[in-house]
Amino acid sequence: MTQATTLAQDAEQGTSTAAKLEIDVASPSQIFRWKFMRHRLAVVSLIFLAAMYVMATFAEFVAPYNPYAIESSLVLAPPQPVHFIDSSGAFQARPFVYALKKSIDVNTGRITYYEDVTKPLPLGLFVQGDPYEFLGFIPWDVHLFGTQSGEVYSPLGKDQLGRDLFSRIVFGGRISLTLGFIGVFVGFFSGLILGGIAGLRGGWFDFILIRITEVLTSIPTLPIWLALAVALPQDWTVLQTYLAVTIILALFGVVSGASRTVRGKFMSLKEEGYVQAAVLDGAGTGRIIRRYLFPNFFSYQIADLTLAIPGMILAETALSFLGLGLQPPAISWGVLLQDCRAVRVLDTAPWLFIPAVFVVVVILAFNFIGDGLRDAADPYSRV
Amino acid sequence: MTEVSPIIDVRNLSMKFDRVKGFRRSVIGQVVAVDDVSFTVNEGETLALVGESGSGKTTTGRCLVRAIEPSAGNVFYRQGDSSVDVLALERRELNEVRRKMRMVFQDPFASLNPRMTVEQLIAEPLYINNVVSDRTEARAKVAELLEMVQLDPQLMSRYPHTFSGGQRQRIAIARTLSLEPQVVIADEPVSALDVSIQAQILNLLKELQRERQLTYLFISHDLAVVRYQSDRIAIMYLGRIVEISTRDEIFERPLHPYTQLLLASSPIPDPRMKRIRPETIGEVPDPANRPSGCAFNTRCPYATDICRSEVPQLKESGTAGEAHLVACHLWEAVELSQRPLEALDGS
Repeated sequence: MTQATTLAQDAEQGTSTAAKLEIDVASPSQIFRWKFMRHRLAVVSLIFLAAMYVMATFAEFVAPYNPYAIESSLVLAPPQPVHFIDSSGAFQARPFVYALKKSIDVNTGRITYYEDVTKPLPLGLFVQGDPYEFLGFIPWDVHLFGTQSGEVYSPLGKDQLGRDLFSRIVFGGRISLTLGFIGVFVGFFSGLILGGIAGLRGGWFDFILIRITEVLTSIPTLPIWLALAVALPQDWTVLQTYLAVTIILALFGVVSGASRTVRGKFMSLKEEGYVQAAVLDGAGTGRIIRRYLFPNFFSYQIADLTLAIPGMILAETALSFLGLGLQPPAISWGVLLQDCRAVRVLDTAPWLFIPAVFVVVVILAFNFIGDGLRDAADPYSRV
Repeated sequence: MTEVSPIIDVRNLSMKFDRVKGFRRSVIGQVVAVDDVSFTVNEGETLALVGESGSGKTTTGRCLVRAIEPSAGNVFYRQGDSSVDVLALERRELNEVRRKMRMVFQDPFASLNPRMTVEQLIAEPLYINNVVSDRTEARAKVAELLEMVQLDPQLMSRYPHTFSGGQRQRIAIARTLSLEPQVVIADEPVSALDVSIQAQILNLLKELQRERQLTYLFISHDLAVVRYQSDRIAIMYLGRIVEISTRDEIFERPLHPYTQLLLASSPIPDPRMKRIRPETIGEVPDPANRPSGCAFNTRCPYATDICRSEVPQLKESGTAGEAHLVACHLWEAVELSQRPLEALDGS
C-alpha cells in the first residue's frame, strides 16, 4: 500500500527515476493491484469481508453459544452492554457485564429485564463454554469470548426461544456469505461456457442463447423465484434446499447476465488486431482463448462478478424472509429476519433487526470492492 | 526487360459481403469490397496498393493470407518452381504459407496483446510454429530480432504499454519477421504514426528488404509515402484496380482520371509548384450501390455514355517501354488534356 502510494506521488512529480522504472516494467496485473490498493474504501471493505469469512469459517469458536441452545429463562432478553465502571464508580481494567434479572408484570404478564448491579460478570477471551467440534472434528470447548464465570452473556440479546442472537448471526453468515459466492461461481462458469461458444462461433447457437436470456431477464424475478422455491420438495435436507436455492438464484441472475457479457466481450476481442495476428501466426482456438481472450477480459469480469454477489445475498435474504427460501432449522440472515415479521417484535425486541445491519454492511462492502476492482480494470485511469 | 516470374499472382479476386436483414437473415444485397482484381507481385519488389478508404485495398491484402475468406478468385503463391493456390489450401498447408507471407498491421496499439511482454510477443510465432523449443533459445532469437529492428534487447521484459507508437511498430515488425517470411503484407504500417517517426519506420522496412530480399505488398493511402517506398503502384477505386504501373510512370504520366485526381489532391512540399486540379464532382459512391459501367463515372469530368454502360477492362496502354495498365475507355483523350503539375515560374 505504502509502496503504491509513493509510486503514484513520484510519478506525478516526475522526480524519482527508480520508481518510474518500476512502472515501466510492471505487468498489467501488478498495475491492477496498485490501482486497487489506492482505493482506500475498497481495501478496508476487503479486510472487513475477509474478517467476516474467517468468522463464519470458525463459527463454533467465535460464537459464544450453540445457535440452537435454548435458554428458556431468558426469552427475548435484550443485549447486555459492556461496562468499565462499576457501581461504586471505580474503573475496572477488565470489562464486565451485569447479570440480568427479570420482573414479571402481574397484570399484563409482560417480562422486563434489568441489570443486576450487584452481580458484575467479568469478561474474558478464550473462555471455556459449550463443548463443540472445532473444524468439525476436533473436540474443544474454548470460545473466543464470554464471562469468566460461565454465566450467560448475550452481546446482541436473545430471540423468542431464548437463543443467543450473536451466535445465530455468526452461524447464519455461513450460509448467507457463501451462497452469493457459490452462486456467482456456478453462474459465471456456466455463463462463460455458454457465452464463450456464442461469442466465438456465433450462428444459430448465439441466436438461441440471446433470445433465451432476453426472455429470462424480462420475467419479473420475484414471482419466478416464488414458483421455483415452492416447487422444492418439502422433505429435502437443509443442504439440498440451500443448493437448490443457490442454483435457482444463479440461473436467473448470474447465468444470463454473465453469458451476455462474456459473449459481447469475446465478440469484440476476437476482432482485435492482436487476436487476428495470432490467427495468422497459426495459433489454435484453445491457445487463442487461453492466451489472448481470457487474460484480456478477466479483469473486467471479476469486477462484474463482485457486484453480482450482493444481488444474490439480497435475493436469499428476501426469499428466506418471505419464508420461501431456507426454512428453520437452517440458519441464514434471511431466516433470522423472519422473526421480525411480527409487529410485536418491533415493539418489544428491536435487536432482532440486527441481522439486517449485517446484510447491509456486507453488501456495501461488496459494492465498494466491486468499485475498486472496476476502477483498477479501467485502462484509461492513471497509474 | 528480363522475364521475372511473379511470387504472387492474384487472379480475379472478389470479396462480396452479404447484406442481411431482419429475423430470417434474408440477403437483401451485396457490398462488393473487391471486384475481380488481378495483379502480380514480383520477387523482391514493393508493390503499393493505393486508394482512399473503402476502395478495398485492405480487404485485398487480407484476402491474400485468408484473414478473411474471399468469395472468388485465385491467389497463386510460388515456392521454388511450383506454385500453390492459397485459397484452395487446407488449414495445415495454409499455415505453412502464412509463415512465408506475413502481415504488418496498421495500428501498433491494437496489434500487440497488452498482456504479453515483448519477449512473449515476439517468441509467440516461434513457439506456435515449433521454430524454437526452449526459453533460452527463444530469448536469444528475440534479442537478435530486437537488434534487427534497432531496439534494445534489454527491454524485452517490458509490456507494450510502456512503448511509443514507433517502438511498438518496430516490435510488430520483429514479430512479423521472426518466421523469416518471403512476403510481407504491410497494411498502412505508418499511417498511425507521427510524421517524424514514419520516415524511420519506412527506412527500416527498406533496409530489411535489402538485407533479407523481402517482397512487400504495401497498402497505403498516402501518396508521399508510396512514392518514397514503392517500385510499382496499383491504384484502386471502389474495389477495382483502375491503373497499375511503375512508380515513375504513375507519378509522371497518370492515365486514369482518378489517378490524376488523387495526385492533384495530395499536397506537394514545394511552394513554387502549383496544382492544376481536375474538375470532379460528387462524393465516393456507396460500395453497396455501385454505379453501372465505370465506377468512377459519377465523378469523372470526362464521362460519356460508354462510361455509364460498359465496365472498362484493365488494358495495356502501350505508351511507353514499361508496362502501364489502365482501366478507362477514354484514357487517350484524358492523357492529352491533363498534366498534374505545372511550374509557376517556368523553372
